[in-house]
Amino acid sequence: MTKKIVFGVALALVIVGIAAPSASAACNPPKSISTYNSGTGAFVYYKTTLLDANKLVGTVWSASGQHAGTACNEGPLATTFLYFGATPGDIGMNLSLGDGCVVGCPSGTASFQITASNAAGAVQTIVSKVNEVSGAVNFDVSTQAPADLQLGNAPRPRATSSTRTAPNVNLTIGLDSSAALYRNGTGADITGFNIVSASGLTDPGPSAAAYTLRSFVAAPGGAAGTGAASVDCSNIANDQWVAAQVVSATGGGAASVGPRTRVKCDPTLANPKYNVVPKKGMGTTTQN
Amino acid sequence: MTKKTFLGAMAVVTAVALTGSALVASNMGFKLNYSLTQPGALPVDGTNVLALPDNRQTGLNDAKALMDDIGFNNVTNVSRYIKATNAFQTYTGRKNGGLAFPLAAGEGYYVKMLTTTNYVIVGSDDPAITYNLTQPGALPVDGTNFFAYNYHQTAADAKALMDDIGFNNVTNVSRYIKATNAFQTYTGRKNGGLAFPLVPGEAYYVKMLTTVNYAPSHY
Repeated sequence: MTKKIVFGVALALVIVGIAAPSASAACNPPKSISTYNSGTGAFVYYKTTLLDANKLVGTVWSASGQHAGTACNEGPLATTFLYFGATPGDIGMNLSLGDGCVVGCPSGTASFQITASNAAGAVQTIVSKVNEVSGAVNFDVSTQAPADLQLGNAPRPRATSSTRTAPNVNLTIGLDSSAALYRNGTGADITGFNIVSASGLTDPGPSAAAYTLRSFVAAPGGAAGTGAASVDCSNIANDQWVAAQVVSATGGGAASVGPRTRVKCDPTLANPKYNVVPKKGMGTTTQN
Repeated sequence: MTKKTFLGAMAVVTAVALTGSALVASNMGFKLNYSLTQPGALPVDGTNVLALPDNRQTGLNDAKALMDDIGFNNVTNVSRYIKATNAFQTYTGRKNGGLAFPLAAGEGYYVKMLTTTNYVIVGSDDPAITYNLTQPGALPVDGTNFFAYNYHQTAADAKALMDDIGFNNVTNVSRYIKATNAFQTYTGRKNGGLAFPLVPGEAYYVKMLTTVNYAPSHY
């Protein structure tokens, strides 16, 4: 191929790129993901055993990246694409991928995480995926088997040890396996968890936007993992809330986090010397 | 025929309509001032949707003629949706800018503007015409139709349009929103969004479940 031809081809590609009709932020024409198929009449609900769940957060991604994340759950562009069914524990989903909160457009397969949480801080989640089909719904969740709709407990960071290097508290963290929550082969896309934290007197909740990244724990497929994280306790009036955010290789960090572990920042509470249970010396006896 | 001549002809048609009963509103000519807006702060990129009348002014037959009629230098490109490929054909009118595809009654178009222009749409709708709104087929054909909303159509919002087509035959209706450079979709089902109003001059995506040869209810 001569330089002239290469230039011509390149020019054509540039023009096609410029000429592509917009709505570039989303699918054009819009595609949809739904638990209800108006064409077949079939519908399903995701199920959570948190019958008092009061908040839902969803994330959608594909091989081309994350499409529905924080913007679809929080802020002015947020859309209520997850909703509670009439029966407690039922969760429905209906997302137009042409919505303004959507970035890019999935093609072929779409993966998604559904997270339900309650006021007490419990979090259940599931990650699944469906293939694109031709019909009323492009990504038809109504075809999913019940086992692929049942949410389970999201992993909570367990602080297995801690030290203080003012103003930080350094944590060694363990995460239990959550592999069973990654359905339909989505486990292969899960690389691990971001360990995130937020400062506050009260639990900041399940939205990832409220947290700051501290570290990453490798846990392929949601396997058990260990890692470390330091949280900033320079403001001792507040506590630090530490959580795990699932990370996929293609979709990045999810829009939600799991249940939070509270780290007390007040050194009079956090200093281990106030928490030591004195050992009794050899030969000590209990006086009756 | 120039716009001036055309408007003159329309005045005659209107006069005939007023003196006789043979003509009905739906096939009377109309003139519509429709603002095609330029790029602004992101994400506003100059994309506009456009619905032309069934009976367009003389000579307005293809993408080039449309660009010329709007004002060639004000337009970046014109695109049409191709159902078979679930993709677009774009014409820029510039070098390597594609073929000037023909315009067709009932088809919606994207017009990407460089400079804001108040485009005067003239023509008339054909009350006898039916639009073939087609259902999903083998991928990538997913039942999407880009429909040119009629000026004289009675359906005033997305729900009324779905009802007029046949609610059970339609999956959803979507409109393009310039401010967000994205879409608002109405399904008419649970959690299916708000039934947005329809505006003459705008085109809408109508996603079908079952093929319908649609004859819009009109005034």
